[in-house]
Formats: sequence, structure tokens, C-alpha cells
Amino acid sequence: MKKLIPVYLVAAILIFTAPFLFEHHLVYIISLFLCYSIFALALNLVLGYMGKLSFGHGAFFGLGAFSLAYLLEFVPFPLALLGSIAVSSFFAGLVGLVCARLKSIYFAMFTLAAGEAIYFVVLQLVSIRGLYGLSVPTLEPMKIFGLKMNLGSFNNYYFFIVITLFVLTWTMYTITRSSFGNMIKAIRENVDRVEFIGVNERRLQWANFLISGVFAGIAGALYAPLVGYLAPEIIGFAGSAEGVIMVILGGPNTFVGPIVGAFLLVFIKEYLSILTEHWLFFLGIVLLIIVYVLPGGVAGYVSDKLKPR
Amino acid sequence: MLLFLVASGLTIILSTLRKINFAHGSLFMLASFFAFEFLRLVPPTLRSIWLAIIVATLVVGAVGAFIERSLHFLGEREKVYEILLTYAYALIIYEAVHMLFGSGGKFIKTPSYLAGRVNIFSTTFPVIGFFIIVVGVSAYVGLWFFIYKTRIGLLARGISFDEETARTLGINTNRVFLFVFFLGCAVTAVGGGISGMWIPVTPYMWELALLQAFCIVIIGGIGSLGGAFIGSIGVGQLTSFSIMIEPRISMVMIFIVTAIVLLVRPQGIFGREIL
Repeated sequence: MKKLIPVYLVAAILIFTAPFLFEHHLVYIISLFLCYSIFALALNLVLGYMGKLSFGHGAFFGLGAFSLAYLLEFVPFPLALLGSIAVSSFFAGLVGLVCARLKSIYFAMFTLAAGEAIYFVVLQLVSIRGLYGLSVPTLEPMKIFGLKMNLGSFNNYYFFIVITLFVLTWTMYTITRSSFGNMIKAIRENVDRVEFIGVNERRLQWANFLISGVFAGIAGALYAPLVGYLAPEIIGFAGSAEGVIMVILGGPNTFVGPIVGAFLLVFIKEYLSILTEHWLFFLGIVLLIIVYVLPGGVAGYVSDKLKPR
Repeated sequence: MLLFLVASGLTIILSTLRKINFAHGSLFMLASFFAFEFLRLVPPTLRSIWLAIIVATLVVGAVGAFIERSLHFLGEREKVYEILLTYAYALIIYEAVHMLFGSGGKFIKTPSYLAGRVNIFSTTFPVIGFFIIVVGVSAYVGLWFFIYKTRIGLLARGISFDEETARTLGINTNRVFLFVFFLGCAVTAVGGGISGMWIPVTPYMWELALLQAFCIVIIGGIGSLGGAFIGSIGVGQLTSFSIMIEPRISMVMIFIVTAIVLLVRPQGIFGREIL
């Protein structure tokens, strides 16, 4: 992939300098894309590397976002962030406990049901307060390790997201390259053989699901202050659908695929939702085309082209 | 019982073709809308609920057959892509209905002979409820007869047991697949057509229908018609009891039961190990 290094560099520079180059709205969309790309990368740990389709990841994303918004009313941002990570990891662990035993079709069915169950609970909890969604309090200026940080300002928050994204992406990249990541790929290829060499595949699948859920939760937690108002839809079916489409669009078999997918989805959504409110219809068609024509996703297609023959 | 109509369609497709149809809830919803629109558009002489249900069933069965055909173009790809494809159809159907018919709840007018109420043990029940039970039970009997007593049912069972061997013996598996898929969708469509007399027809109903059907299939066991029957009664009861306690909690209750079943007996109560 040496040929692509200039592309990555340009992308990184563009992301870092975006607030100085572009107008406010575009920067906002770019930061949305960054949050979604963490989410998509997290989902890809399950979908691409473990080969199982999770339709419930929107729930972890949403749990991260909602618990952050809720906790922010009581505690400062870093604590709330930790709290929301705890909430999403707890639920990811719980759901993963069942999921780790399931084969592909059951897995897809069960994660969908789990996501919806969490959606209904959150909807109920939110509507007790007589609201449809939940608004996120603005972030107070604070001091961490003697450093003054004012995340309330948009540009500062943008850089906070960018830095977190790079750290998280690097972490996930390391995970996929580790022996743990290799075992997960081995599970995708042949579960029986993995079991046969004496590896507890259920525990590995559980751990992978948990990690994936936690990262999705962090993505959600970063997303919450950005948009300022949370609609319950991000938890339910629509949120999970977006995640799956991002990964498939970008390419589930590559590491950067989900990032590409997130980029495409955020921009497609942005421009389609101006034209029509029924953009899920077009997303469905896009998904259909991708499944038929480009099973490796956009990134998979590009990496195929670049491969020396 | 409406749930049984959805779940049984899902389960016969799943057991024979080993394919999961994520668009099943959408087809259920689509059938309701077709029935409703049929009743609205045709001249009064033809305005019969029976005709509407038949038309909806045929159209939705045809849509199902189309979905089945399109799955074949995927060839020998991973299962994930089959799931994704039906998922894409689910999204498309949902948004298409949303666009064409709007999101408001609609009721199909119940014919007068079904609209009354009857007294049993000093409690009144709507007649339509009984009607739905009768349809559900007869669908169960019909499907059972189809699977265990007809030749094509025998072929379907054979294929679900060992597809390779069935093909080697000269059975046109594709035709059986197509028929089973059509039947599965048609049964669901009957449920959809009737449901308009019982619950409001909205584009959102597909989600709940799909989820409940999934849970029923998991609880009852994949490939087991009796399991789907018992499962849907159980889920129906669970829903109505939890609604008495707290309306929106019903889905969570169903989900918890499903999770317990999966942990204790992964193949479901009446299921056998397939896939």
C-alpha cells in the first residue's frame, strides 16, 4: 500500500487544517464524518474481521451518546466520558455474552433484536421527561493536568475529536495486527479449526464484540456534544443500518474501508437529505448496487486495482 | 395469531433455503398497504376484503419471488451478503411505502359481519379477534399439510436435509426454493392483509413485525412449524401481559426471553440443529 501513502498524508493534513480552510458548516460535516468513521471502524472489527453481521451497533453508539449527555448534567466532561464508556461497555459485554455463541444468521437476528430492545428502553427513559430527544449541555471550560481546555468552542472541540480519532484509529490498527486480531480472522475463516487447536473461541469472540462495542460507545460520546441534540433514532434501526452501510460501502476487508465508507455516507446523506427526507430509500439502492457490483466496497476495489499483478 | 402468520413464513423459508429474509416484516407491511389501497381504489362492486387480501397476497408473493431470484445472482458468496441484500430490500420497501402512502395510520374497514362483539363468560370479545384466530389455526393446519403431506413439501424437507443429494437425484431445487419463498411470503401477506382490520397500518409496523417474528423463530426453533405456533402464542401473551404493566416494555421482555432461550437451548424449544 506504499502508493497510497501520499493520499493518506494529504487527507491527514486536510483534516488537521480544515477549520482554517473551510467554512463552518463543512467543518461540522467533516467532524461528523470523523465520529462516524470511529463508529464504522469499530463495527468493522465485528463485521469485517470476525465476519459477522451486527445490526445492533447503533445501540452502543447511541448508549455512549445518551449516557454522556445525561451525565454531563452532573459531572465534568472527562468523568462523563468515562461514565459513558462504562455504560456502553457494560451493555456490549452483556449482549456479547449471548452473541459469542451464535452463528451468522442467529447473530444478525439477535443483534437486531438487542439493538431494538435497548432503543425501546432509552426511548422510554427519555420520554419520561416529556421530551422526544435529549439536548446535550454545552461543555464548560476546564483544567486537566494544569492545561486549560475550552471544549465549548467549536474549533477546540474539533481538534479534540481529531486527536482522539487518530489515537483510536491507531489503537484499532494495532489490535487488528496483534495476535488477537489474527485469531479473530482465524475464527472468521474456520471456527472448528480454531477450537481444535485449543483456543477458547467464544471468549475471543466475546472480547472482540466488547472491544467493538466500547469503541462504538466512544464514537457516540464524541458525537453527542457535536450535534447538541440527540434523537433516539441513532440508537435504533436507522443508526445501526447506517453503520452497516458505511462498512459495506467502504469495504469490510480493508482497514481503511470503513473510513472511506463513513466519508461517503456522511456526504451522501448531507446532500440527499436536502433533496428528500426519504434518503434511506436511496441508501438501500446504494447498498443493493454495492452488494452486486462491488462486494469488496470502494476501498476493496481500489486496493485490488493497485495490487501488483 | 397474526404473529404466527409472519413467523411461519419466515421459518419455512429459513429451514428450506437456509436463507434469512430481513425483508419479511416489510412484506407484511406492504401487504397491509396493498389491501388498503385496493379497497380505496377499486369500484364499489369489487370492494371486498377477501378480494383485497387475495390480491395483496399474490402481489407480495410475487415480490417475494423476485427477491428470491435476485438472491441467486449472488452465486457462491458469503452468507453475510445474502443478509445484506434482503436488508437492502427491507429499507427500500419501507421508504417506498413511506413515500407513496405517507406515514399516517390507516384502518381497513371491517366488514359488518366481522365488526360485532360477542359475549363469552360475561366478557365481550370482538368477532374479528376470533376470525384472526381461525385464520391463524387454518394457516397452521394448511402449512402442516403442505410440508408433510404433499410432494413439494416432501421435496422441501429433503432439500433442507441435504441439498446436494437432492440435486443429484434430479430435483429442480431452484423451483422448489422459488415456490417455498413464494409461499412463505404469501402466508405473511395474508397476515398483513388481515392486520389492517385489527391494528392501524403504518410504514413503521414492519420493524416490530420483523423483530417479533425473529424472536418467535428463535424461541420456537428454526424449521419447526409447531415451535413457531407455540412461540407466537407465547410472545403474544407476553406482549399483552407486559402491556398491562408498562406499554413499551413488551419488546424488552420478549428480548430477554429470547436471550434466555438462546443461552439455555440454542436451537430453540422445538428446533433441530441446522445451518
